[in-house]
Amino acid sequence: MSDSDTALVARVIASDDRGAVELLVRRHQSAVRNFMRRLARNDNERANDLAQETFIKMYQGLHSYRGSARFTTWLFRIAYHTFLNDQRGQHASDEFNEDEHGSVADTAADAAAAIDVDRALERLPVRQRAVFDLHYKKGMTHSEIAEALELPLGTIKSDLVRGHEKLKEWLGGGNNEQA
Amino acid sequence: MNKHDSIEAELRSPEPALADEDFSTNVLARLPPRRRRSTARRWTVAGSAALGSVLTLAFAAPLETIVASIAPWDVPPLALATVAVLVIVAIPALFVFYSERADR
Repeated sequence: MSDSDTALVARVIASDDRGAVELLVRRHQSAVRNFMRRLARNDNERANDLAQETFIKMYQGLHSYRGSARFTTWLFRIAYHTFLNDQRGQHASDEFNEDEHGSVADTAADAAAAIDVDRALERLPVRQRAVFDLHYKKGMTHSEIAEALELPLGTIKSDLVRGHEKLKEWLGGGNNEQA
Repeated sequence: MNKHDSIEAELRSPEPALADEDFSTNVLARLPPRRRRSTARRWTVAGSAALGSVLTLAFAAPLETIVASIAPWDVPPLALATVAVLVIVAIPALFVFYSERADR
């Protein structure tokens, strides 16, 4: 039987057990890298760098993990903030465009093209991309997402509703302008 | 299946499982060096604790007197004093043992 995340965390805290760290990384690397790819719009190199940074921060912050939330909730909180910090530092102006006015890709998008769901998701603002990924790909509940992203529950629900509306609009080939 | 259902189905499709390849290795290589308590530090801590015990025994009121004042009725004070000394000596030993264990 494999160790639970909590048991592995306890081993790291007690004796800096690198074997336990490796098990945690191996267990969650795929989910975190996929999450980062979603946020980074499939920029795989950047996603991998940020995923590595996430796990290093995880290791450094393990002593502060209290076990009150699921380990994955705590881990994705680190991942999300790692992405946001990187975004703020390197692409402040892009982020402004993305969140307030739609991305550069939006303005160039061809509304008539048959855009698949993945591409449509890329056009959502970063917070909505995170909410959609955690809900649909990671199977997290609204409450867990709210805890992971440190946002009110109502914001998560409205992000899902608004995101759905946009996806339907884009995938239905309707009006391409963003609200 | 209407548009909403097809979007929902797409959204719920499982994401690809990414092979680890060298990802975990690279993360471990970037971690800070392991915490290590040096042998000198262990002996310093243990020695300080032992010295404190010796000084306490040497300069405090005779242990038997203290123990006698709180001893239950018919337990010999000498036996209680022996137990107390063993506990005082055992604490630094256990501390060193724990430190070494945590360093594996």
